[in-house]
Amino acid sequence: MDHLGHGLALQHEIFRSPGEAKFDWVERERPAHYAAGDTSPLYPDGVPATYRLAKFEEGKPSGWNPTIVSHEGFFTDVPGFENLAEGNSAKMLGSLSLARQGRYFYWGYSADPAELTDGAETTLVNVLHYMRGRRAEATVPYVCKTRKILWVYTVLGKDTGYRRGVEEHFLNQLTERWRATYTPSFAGAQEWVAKYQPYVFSGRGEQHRNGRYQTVFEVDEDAMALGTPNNLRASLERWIALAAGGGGESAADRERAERCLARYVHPDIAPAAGEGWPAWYEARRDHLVFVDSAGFYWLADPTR
Amino acid sequence: MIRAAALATLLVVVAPLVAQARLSVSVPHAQDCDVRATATDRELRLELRLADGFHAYARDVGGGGPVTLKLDPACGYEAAGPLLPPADKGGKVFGAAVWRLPIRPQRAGAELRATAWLQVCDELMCHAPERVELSGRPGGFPVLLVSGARDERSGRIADFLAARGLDVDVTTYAEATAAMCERAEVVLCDSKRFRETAKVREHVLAFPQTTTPIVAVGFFGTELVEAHGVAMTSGYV
Repeated sequence: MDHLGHGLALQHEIFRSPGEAKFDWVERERPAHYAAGDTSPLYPDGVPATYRLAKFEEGKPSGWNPTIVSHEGFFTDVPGFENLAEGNSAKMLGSLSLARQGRYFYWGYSADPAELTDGAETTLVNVLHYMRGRRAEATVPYVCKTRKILWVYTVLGKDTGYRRGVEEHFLNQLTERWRATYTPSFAGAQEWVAKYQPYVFSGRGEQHRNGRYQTVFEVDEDAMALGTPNNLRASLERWIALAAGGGGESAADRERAERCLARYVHPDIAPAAGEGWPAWYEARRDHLVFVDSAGFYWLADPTR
Repeated sequence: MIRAAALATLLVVVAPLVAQARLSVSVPHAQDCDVRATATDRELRLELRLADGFHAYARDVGGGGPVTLKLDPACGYEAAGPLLPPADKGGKVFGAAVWRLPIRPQRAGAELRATAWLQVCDELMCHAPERVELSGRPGGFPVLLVSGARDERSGRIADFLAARGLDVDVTTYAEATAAMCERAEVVLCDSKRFRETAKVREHVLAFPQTTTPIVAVGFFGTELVEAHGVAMTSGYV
């Protein structure tokens, strides 16, 4: 990433209070790696053919800085997460440069006033004011990478000849059982993601990491057999209904649903002894969130 | 830790949890009354402590002139509502009393300047009306700047923040403690660029856990946030 930012959430407090941030803008044509039709949280309708970038630093920094290429799409399921600006990434759309999670704010530019533009200086001071008062603000824990990384490999470098994502990284981030289902190519990656991504999970122990990768994915055959993507509320409700029985479901489906509930409802909030799933759900339904990065769990929203 | 040299001299943070700044008060001929003023970004408070037997006026009841408080229109604050006087007895105010003026900043780090007029009386006579000049930088709050080293860069950042009304302490990743972080309202964890950051990373990864909000900058920022078990910067490829 460099000295520019785009997709700024200009109505947000960090650009408005207590100072009004005024940037110098650079207008550019949409680059090839921000392909027409690609979207991100700050570009829900895609990047227009001509778009503008705000200068955060006076000049383009020399040298390579790999630190600020976090694909914000990873964290849209984190309660309270704020995407506030995209970095000018040479890789792909959806790289964040300004973001907040709980009491942490990520500032993806220099903090040195010798390098900052007036707009960036004002924004940095505003950020300090914005964060003040967020003492002890809770967020969900980080356990593992999200399923979005697998999708990223299907597009990253597709137009530049970079193939390590699909040939090496994708393959080695699957458990041994599931590597056999994967063809290490862009076409193979796309096919695999389309079929299996709704049912992957990770973060449950040594089987989900290896010497090189902190996160290794497994496909949940129970959820797949039921046709219930593991992160959807409709799936949670389906498992509860199946587990409760009485609907003429098969014993096999009921057992699958019970395994899914045990697998995806965080132990900290699981039903107490004698508490049935329906009653448990009614008591907590408005406070439940599914978060990939928290270990692929339904858990209590810490921001509520 | 070192105190940022350019810290605005008029600012004294007296209550860090609410970041209320005491303002400089100039009262050439104060008689039978102590005057104090404090302010946050949202409220200017003028406090009078009247000597026994003396009173001021919260409203015009035909005695002495009531207390007025007006912002200098050229300063970086504007009134956000009318002056709110204390409770009175027939227009008179006794003992300790506070007038509150809602305000809002027009830019970060602006100086607040205001003028109050007050008149102190007893049952027999009134002192001459007194003009009170108030000035200072409200909105300041303690920020801990954490750097790889105390150097020109950290000095520039500290001076920059202090000039905008913030109360800046500077430390390094090697020296930072949880107690230092807890004393601040925000911790700003700076980072030079990748490959300019040798020999500091181990301290970044061991940065103390704190309840204080953290603004994490650049490469070290990503490392620190992930080391604290927060997903936000874990996804870069």
